[in-house]
Amino acid sequence: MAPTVLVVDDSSMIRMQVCRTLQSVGYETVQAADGQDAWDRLAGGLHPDLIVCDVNMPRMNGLELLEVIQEHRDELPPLTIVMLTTEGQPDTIRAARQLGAKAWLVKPLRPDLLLSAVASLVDKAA
Amino acid sequence: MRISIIHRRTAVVTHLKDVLSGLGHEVTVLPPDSEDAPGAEVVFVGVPSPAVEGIAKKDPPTWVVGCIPGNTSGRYQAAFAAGADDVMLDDACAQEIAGRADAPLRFARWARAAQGSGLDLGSVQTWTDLGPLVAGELTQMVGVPLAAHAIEVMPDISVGARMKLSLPKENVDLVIGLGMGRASAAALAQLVFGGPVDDTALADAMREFANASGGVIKRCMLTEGIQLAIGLPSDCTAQDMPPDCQLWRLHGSGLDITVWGGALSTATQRLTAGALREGMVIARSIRSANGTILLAEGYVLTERSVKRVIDHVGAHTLVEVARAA
Repeated sequence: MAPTVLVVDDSSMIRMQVCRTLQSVGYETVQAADGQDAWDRLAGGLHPDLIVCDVNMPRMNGLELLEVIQEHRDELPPLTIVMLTTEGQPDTIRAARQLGAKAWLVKPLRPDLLLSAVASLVDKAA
Repeated sequence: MRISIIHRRTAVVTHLKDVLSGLGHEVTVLPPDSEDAPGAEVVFVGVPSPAVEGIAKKDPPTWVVGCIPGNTSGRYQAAFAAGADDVMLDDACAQEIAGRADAPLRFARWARAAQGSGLDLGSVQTWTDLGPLVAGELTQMVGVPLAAHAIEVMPDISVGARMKLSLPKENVDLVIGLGMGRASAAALAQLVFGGPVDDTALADAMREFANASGGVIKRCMLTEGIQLAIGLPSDCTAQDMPPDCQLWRLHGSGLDITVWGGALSTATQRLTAGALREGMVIARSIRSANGTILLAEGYVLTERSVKRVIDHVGAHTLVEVARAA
């Protein structure tokens, strides 16, 4: 079965671009419009192999989603998370890593970098 | 901050030291008969003490908080008369001590607001290179080269988005906007979506362009030593443009995008926690009752973080946010 990637971004354009990139090499994708939407899906039983997540989003931002996932880590399967964002501030990157993010990609989207990061993390998690 | 404590009562010294060290300040305890506090930015002094007058006259000035044992007007008067900048009771709670220690920073911010922003945007290369910088970012996003040229007159736009970039320490907000007309929108739809799309999708694309532009400005300004907070992008029209904007035209492969950037001089405003809204930028760190930082200066509020603030400090506590955020 193809690995599933949950794509979390408040921009439908970015979600579409990320999903197209991932689908082109065989990944299944699920979309969430912000951190709250993503959390609702995870709490509802979605078990993605990997999450690609923006940082600046309405309702619940990317770092807050990481916090919530960490708070509930005992109830969830292990989740591998890649941040894809315009942010590049070292403090923010450090905070995300401490909260469990495995990679940090700075927008604009570079399909080759995204695919390489996703493939290596999905392989590790398998 | 570098803070010194001069006080005869050991219990007060211990309390102040624990609280201030816990807040991340660099704390030095000096003997109770000290008459000076070299290198300190703030001094907590038990009053009466010869230190108050001596330190208060120093140049550059040191902020003196006189600590008094009881709530009588004579003691307040004496402490202020001796030269204290602020006075508090010896047994003040952690949150009050945190506020007193931060007072000189607050005063400096008001002084800057009165004098106008200390930031000379003309010397910030990221800002003067706004057009080429955004062109480079959008070129990567749409996959076709875009050239940037400065222009004088704002063209008509049918779809636009803007982004606010807050510099709370400078009392100024930067605003950048991007917009385009119908013909360019059709070209963009073809490039990004592969064919015609509705206005909602185009507006979403413009918001993401504004978001990416804000991101590259933030990253580049950081290399110039300037920290700013970016909020969430929003839709806009040409009428939302601040006065005295710089204007750029980015064009190539049928795309014709106008970019503008301007500054809004602003002071911070105080709101009750219950009036906070998503997207506002915290101008002064919010602390819990025990003094730990709940949300740091520059944090962009979300629904979740607004709820967290209200849960911790109550809906009626005053919070300082950037005015134009």
